[in-house]
Amino acid sequence: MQEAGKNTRIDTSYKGYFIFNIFNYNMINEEEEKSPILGSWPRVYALVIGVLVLIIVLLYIFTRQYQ
Amino acid sequence: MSITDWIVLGITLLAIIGYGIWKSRGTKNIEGYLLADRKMPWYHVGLSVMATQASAITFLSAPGQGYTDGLRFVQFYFGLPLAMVVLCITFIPIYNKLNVFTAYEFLEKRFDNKTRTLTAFLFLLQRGLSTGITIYAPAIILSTILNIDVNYTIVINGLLVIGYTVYGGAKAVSYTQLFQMSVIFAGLFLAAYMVVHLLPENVSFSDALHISGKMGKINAIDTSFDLDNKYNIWSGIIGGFFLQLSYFGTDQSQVGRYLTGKSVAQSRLGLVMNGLIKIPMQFFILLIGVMVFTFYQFHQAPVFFNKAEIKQIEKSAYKADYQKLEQAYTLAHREKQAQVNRLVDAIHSHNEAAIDEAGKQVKASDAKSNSIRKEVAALMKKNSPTADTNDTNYIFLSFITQQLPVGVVGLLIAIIFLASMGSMASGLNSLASTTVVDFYKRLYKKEESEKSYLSTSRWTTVAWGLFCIVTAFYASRVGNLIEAVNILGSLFYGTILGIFLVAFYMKNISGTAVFYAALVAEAFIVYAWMTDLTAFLWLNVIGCFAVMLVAWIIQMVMNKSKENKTSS
Repeated sequence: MQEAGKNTRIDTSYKGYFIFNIFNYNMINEEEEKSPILGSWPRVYALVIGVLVLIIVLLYIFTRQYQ
Repeated sequence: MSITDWIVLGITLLAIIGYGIWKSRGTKNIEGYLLADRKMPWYHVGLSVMATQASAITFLSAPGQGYTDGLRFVQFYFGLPLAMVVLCITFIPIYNKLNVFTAYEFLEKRFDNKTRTLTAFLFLLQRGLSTGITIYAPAIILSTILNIDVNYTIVINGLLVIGYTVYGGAKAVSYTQLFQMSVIFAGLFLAAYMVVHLLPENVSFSDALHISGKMGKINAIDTSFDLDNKYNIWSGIIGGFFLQLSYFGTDQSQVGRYLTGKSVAQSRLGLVMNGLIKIPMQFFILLIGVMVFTFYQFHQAPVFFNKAEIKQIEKSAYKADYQKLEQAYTLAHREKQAQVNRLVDAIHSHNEAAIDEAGKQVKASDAKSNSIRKEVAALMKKNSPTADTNDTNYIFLSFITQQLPVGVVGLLIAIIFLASMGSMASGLNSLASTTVVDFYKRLYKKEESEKSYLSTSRWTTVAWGLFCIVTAFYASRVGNLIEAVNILGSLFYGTILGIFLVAFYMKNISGTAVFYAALVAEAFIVYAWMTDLTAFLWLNVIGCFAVMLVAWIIQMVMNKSKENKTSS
């Protein structure tokens, strides 16, 4: 990755740009940007997805109950 | 509106705008003006992101949608939490690392200037038009209350927002949005309490849910897979995911909000907050609309909610025809009310067979009332071909002004204004950012002083504000506003998202390939929309994959041609 703020092109040839980019191993210092809640970011994301599943299940039950 | 309501409205608006202006004083450079010096904590980011998405349309059109179409619109937001997770993992760290002002700067660093310029142009086109529609929504309120032409109220509301956005930039936007959302949450709970409180004494909240359920309004989940069905769980999760990912990841009005975060962690937490709260909030707003619907099963609703159109027909040669329809509507309501009361008795007796039977009769009576409403709309069209025959946006407004007590009306009207101001201010700020950073600074004046860029940013905000006001003059012709904004977004977001996903995940694709792929994909999306090829949410998925596929094919052809030249 090039230095910030300059109009130079991003180097896409670094190892694993495609897959590892998804987990941003090259992007940030995970220690500096540690999640203030639940200990780690994957746990925070799991919470968000878990709540979504719970909401869908509850809405499904709600719809079945009153429809 | 009473004097008390005007006082509540005036104090709420002035206090919040005054606070935003006071907190944003002393802005000296464009980083401060466009990104609030990147110093905002997570709750500012989260509330700002929510306030940007929740325009006045959310509070006017969504309850109307709940009233006419039930809860099924909530499925539209199912893809949002998933999009928030992807944004936190990929987009935020990249933007933060590159220290960009706009999302489109990243595209030049990854591809080239023409791809950046094309994407920024598509954004300006889409956001400029959408922001115009968001000004129109609250303008119709003032127009109804003050009984003056909607064009005047568009100008007044537009100039108010232009004023504080031009002065305070992103800081004013963020500080006002923090308080706007607090007042909005408080007002929503109050509105929900009031509508349940206004139901007849023998009808509990649970009874109201049963009644609306029997009339087809409790339809929050539809598991059937149908490409032509606008709202089901699949279009919500898949189509909604692509739309929300594109909106939050590539629309500068949102990117500009989380770029104000003081660190990656603070920006991420802001989006996580949005991912957790958005669906319950939207469900709640739709449920208020469903409760308003139930309320009108016991009290006669107006045959048409837009008073301005009723006045027009009453002045026309069709007055007698309209009055006949109005009488028929009153009779239909009385018949329906008797059946609703039978349904309530059946619910209280827990007799399932009687509940089903009464439910069917109520539904049939409701269909009769709806058919009279359609006849009224047809009569209005016959009288004036330009008549606005979709009254969905007026339903909640009509309920607030006619049924709620003094003081509450002023507060709820203030909420609708605040919501409009929040999203419009973010819209103007992002339009100015993109115009100055991606066009003016990049293509025209590369080396200017901070003072000069700041001044240009302010003038650009004014220019976009005026453009949005002019667009709002034409917004009445687009029907249901919340759908119109989402359809407009779906025409561009898929293509823009496709460009960004190629940038992130397809490292061998060059700028030239993605540029032409985007042009092809956009042309196809416009064709698909004009020919009604599929429900609009799917346009986001199609546009995104079209860019990725066509870019890959073009790149293959380019590589082959290069190989051939080299070998010959």
